[in-house]
Amino acid sequence: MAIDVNTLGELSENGTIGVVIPGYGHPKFLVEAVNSACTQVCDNDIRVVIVDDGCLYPETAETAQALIETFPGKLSYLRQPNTRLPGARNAGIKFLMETVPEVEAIFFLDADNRLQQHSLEAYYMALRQNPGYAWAYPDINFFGMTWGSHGFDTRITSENYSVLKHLIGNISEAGSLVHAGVFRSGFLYDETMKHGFEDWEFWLQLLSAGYRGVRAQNAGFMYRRRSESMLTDSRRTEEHLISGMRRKHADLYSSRNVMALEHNEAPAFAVVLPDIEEVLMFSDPLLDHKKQSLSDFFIELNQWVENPHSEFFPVKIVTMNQEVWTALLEHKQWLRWLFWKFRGLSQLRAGVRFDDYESYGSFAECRGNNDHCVEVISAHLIQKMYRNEELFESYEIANFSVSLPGMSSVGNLSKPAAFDLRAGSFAAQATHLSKRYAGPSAIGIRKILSEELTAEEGREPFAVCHKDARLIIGTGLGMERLSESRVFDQLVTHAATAGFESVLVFEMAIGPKTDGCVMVLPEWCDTVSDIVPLRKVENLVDTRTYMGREFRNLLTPEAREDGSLVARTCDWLVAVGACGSVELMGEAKAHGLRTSVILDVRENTRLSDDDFTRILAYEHAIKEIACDDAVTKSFLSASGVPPGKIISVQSLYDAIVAGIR
Amino acid sequence: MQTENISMTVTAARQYYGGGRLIIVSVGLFKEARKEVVRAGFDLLLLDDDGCVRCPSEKDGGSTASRPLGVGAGLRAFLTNGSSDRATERWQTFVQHCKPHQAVLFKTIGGMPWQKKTSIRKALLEILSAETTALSAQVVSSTREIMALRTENEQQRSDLTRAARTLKAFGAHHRYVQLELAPGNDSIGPQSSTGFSVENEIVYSVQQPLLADVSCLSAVRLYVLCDETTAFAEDGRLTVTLVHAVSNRVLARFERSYTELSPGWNEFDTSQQSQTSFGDAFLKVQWRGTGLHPNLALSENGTDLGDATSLAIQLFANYLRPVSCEGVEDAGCFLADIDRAELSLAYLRSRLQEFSTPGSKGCLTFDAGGQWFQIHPDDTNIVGCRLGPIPVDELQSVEVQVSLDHQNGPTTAFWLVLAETNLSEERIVSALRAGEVESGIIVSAMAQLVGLKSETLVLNFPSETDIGSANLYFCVQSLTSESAFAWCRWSKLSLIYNANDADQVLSLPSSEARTFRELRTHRFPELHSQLSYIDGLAGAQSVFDHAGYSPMIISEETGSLQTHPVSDGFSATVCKGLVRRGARQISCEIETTHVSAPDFIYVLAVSTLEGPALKAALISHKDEIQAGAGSAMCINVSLSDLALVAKRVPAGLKTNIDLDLFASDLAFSPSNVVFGVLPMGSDVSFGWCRWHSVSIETAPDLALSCEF
Repeated sequence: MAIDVNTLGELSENGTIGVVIPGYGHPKFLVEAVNSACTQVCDNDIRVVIVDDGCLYPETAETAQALIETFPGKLSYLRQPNTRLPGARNAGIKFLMETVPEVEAIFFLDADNRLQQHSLEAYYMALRQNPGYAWAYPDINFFGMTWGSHGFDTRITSENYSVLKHLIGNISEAGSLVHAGVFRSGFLYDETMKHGFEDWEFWLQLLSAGYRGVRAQNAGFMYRRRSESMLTDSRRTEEHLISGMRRKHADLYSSRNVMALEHNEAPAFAVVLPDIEEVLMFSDPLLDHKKQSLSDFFIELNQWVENPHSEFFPVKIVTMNQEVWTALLEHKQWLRWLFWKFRGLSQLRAGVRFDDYESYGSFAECRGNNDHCVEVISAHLIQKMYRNEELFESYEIANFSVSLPGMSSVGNLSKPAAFDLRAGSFAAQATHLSKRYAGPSAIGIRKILSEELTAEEGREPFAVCHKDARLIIGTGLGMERLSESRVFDQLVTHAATAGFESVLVFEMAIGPKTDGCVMVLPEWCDTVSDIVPLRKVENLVDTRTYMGREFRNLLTPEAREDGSLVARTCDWLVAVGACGSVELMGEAKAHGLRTSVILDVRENTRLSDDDFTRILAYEHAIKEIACDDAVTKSFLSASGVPPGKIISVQSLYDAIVAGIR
Repeated sequence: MQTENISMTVTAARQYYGGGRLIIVSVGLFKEARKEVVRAGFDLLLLDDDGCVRCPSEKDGGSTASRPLGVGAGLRAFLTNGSSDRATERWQTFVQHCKPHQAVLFKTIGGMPWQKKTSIRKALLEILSAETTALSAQVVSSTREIMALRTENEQQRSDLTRAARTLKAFGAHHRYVQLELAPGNDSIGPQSSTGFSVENEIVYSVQQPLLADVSCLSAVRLYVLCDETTAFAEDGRLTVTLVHAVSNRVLARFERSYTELSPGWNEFDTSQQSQTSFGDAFLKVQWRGTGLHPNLALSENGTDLGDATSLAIQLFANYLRPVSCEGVEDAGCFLADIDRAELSLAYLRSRLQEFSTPGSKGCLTFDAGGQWFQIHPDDTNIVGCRLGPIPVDELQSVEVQVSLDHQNGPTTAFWLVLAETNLSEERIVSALRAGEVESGIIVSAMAQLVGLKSETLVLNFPSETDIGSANLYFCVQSLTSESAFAWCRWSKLSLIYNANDADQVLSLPSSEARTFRELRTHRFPELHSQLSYIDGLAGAQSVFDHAGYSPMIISEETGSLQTHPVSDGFSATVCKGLVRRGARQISCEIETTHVSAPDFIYVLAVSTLEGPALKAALISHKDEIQAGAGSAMCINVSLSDLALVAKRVPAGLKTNIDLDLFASDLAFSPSNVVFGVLPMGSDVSFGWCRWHSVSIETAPDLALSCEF
């Protein structure tokens, strides 16, 4: 979501900064915290409030009063009944918003932590120089119990702010400076988060609203690590809290939002075009690409191999000549599917060529013949090279052939130009001994998020990185016969009217292509965004039984997985005829898709028994069956399909035009 | 908590949360409260009937009212008249809900104006007196805590000093010990050195006995710390010398001009020179010129010394062996005329290794009195023990006294054998059995003893020999089989070195050696075996017996010696043989440790006399000292056998007493030191006379006159 800079407003040069210090435990460290906040060296006016959150030690009030006398006009104290940390911080926020209306940013300092002299200035500068950002978060300098040499131990939670990282781990310490506009918009800590993660939850609230954070470098935020606080840092309640937060911010964690974030922050592919020394990075090939020069790419590569945990890097590096890339762009409908296949390759190094031998839409491993025109290298291989485990040249290339209509006619595509991944990379970098990255691991994040999206199948997600509505059309007709039916044309046109992006899923027979058959896609296919082939069961003997009647399974298990993963990226599934896509209806319904079947039965023909049983077997998952044939309708009614589910084809078109939302 | 019915203006809120002591009064009481004289120190806010708290200036409204979030630290009281009862009640509920740390007084005040005034004053006084009580309780508890802290701190400090001293005196048994001493507390460090102007430059000198055997120095490096301001100074140079304590040979010597020194730690690699030697050694560090104050450190190879600014001695257990007090004392006192090195039993105890031939079982024990070690013979096998390697350069001979300790002891043969270190014990034993001479083995004449006989064995080391490194073996064999009754004793082991070739033995140029003095400081616990108490008059001991305490206490904790004065005579402690040849000045730090004690006369004396003669000599000067001290603060007596200084010291003053021996004849021979106290009058009921340390300065010109 785009950030609306106007809601936050620009910070003035020397704006007032409020500091909220909640106190519940013994005030032995409170003086240090208050002192460090009140003696900041900066041109900003600092207003500090100690919120005594029902503390049991009377020393807190005494200390506070002595401190108020030391810093008159700067420091306030208020005592309230115990509300735990979020409540105390909220009280501090409310206090500052009411009594210091000119406050421009609020900092949250815990009573046992402290700041260095120029901290607030550094925070404020970070926020001021990056207008539109809602908060500035620090690197964490530990003191007290430290492991660093000479007692310095600095943890960097995220060098560049990343929403993806923030979804998996809290990369913004509570000791952050928050733009007061956020609070004026009504955001507060969630007071039900009494057992921790209240700060993380607060950031998630802001993320949901489209706000972002920015790192304040060298802010000098000092975090006291204590043995007892480490003991209480128990993870027992963590899962419960995290799942609660995810439920609350379901939008943030939705698969398409996560994929969109991946596309922007951690693209899964790098398409290297060595002949023009350019690299394109994306997760979704149909969306904008991040373009960079080959030398910049090497710099990024080098940074990543040194810091694989803190830096994101594409999982697959796809090398091809510009000519191939241009040819591919002319067949946009296949791009998402093709790159999805690339992403799912288990081979560390693979060569792909386009040919005409197999039936259209196949992606199969083949022996011999090294004249591939696309090379797919796994990032894992680069790591291996970096560790000198394997040499690039000696790593065997697995060959794949892809058969797509039109591609083979582009002509003899050349092999990708020589391109050595090691060129200019792997230069050792200097690292700071007492600074470490302590945010969530970049590799882990990709794994966790993709597992969440495709956990059941254990596969790579189909990358659709936007949130526009999508309609998926399933057919059993096969590529060659598509143009014979007018239903598709109608469906695609109506979908386009309603603003749907259409996806065509067709069932594909395996085996050599019929001789002489050159496929030309029907015209309406131009408006389809994706075409996804699904494999049919080969020998057609895989059967199931429903209510004592046998029917064939049309899709192989793998194709069912494929179909299900693609369906998850859509909002509406329409099966044309009792095709294999009907088998996807159950999964689709579970993932919130609207499910429809069009029975385009010509007059006086009947649905085969097999097809009819299939429809009945999946009837519970189908929302509506559109059919204009009276016989078929009555047959459906008689078989127990609720009459409300049986509608006319035109009603379905109308519904599509009305849109999903 | 419902707070809808109470509120406050923004200005009032600032004062409420951010002010000092605060009372809130209802509008009806404002006039009386404002004029109240006791009110000084209290801020006032107004409570309106609608439950809104305002500043006095905002009486008619004020800016946006807000709901209160909690209570401020300074809130002390709500004083209301009847009119704002409802509002007060709501505020009371709210404040109680917030559970403030300090009680908030809620009081309804009514009546005539003068009654109101009195009530307000009473309420304010009530608050103030409660605060005063709390404050004084706080002061009491703080004082108690400070006292507890102080006691703890003192205990820790004394533990630390004690540990440091113990380590220094006896070596360390811990795996790794780092000892940091403030400069000036010991005989090492800048402040402990004395500067002397010789010709036209000043020479500082520090001497430090090593707590490790020289043979271990290969694993140890010497560092001298030099600060930035003095490095690169143009005038002056630093000399570091490692001197073998027994033979006075210079093992390693480094000389660097200041310009060659770098700021921080400068390394002097002693490992090469010390590989072929063994025994105790000391370091001499001299520096000339002004400004440079080096610190010394011994450290393991490769240890990062960090940026320590004080003296650091790092000791490592692997390179340390316990060294007796005697050993420490002997090491490095003098560049003296020792050509005959008597090896102490303490030294042997840590270095002798038993050996026995196959089938035999030897047994080695040591005398508790420090005189001898003994080997139990094993039938007719040859058994014994090994010492070494020993330095053989310039070795002339080895002497040892042997004896048999049982009147019925069997006929036993004793050999003293010097053998090259690469020869096995089997070869030595077989050579002894055969009675043949083998190259690399030198055997003393055999002594055959029966019963309680003793004899001296001498092993002459040939002047021309190939032996470069040798072990010394002490071997015995029972010639009859009745070995059960005998122990073969060895005592008075001496290594005699060839002292004629002065150039080789003493490579330190004499002209330079002449230019500095040595200062050694002792703490009393390390001298305790040499200390004995002498009372002034007969009968004094019975006084202490009666009182139930000892008149002399050596404190491990403070490192001091203290005696209780006796009313009619000397109360003194004698340290035997503390002053050696060449001593020029003795200095002690003294203090009377009770503030109510009267002045005492401290007497520091050096005498060659001992026992009753010394006591008599001291008592004979008692009247003279008492009379003299009455008029002067310090008197000196110098005789042929006694030199003393007496100083009158008031209680509680930590001062020094110095005895100059420069002109005394005593300086030429080892002497005893007396630490004595005389009362000025007769009142001695209070006070302990404490001697913190004793420092002895040795004159080089006298010492060198005895050198070869």
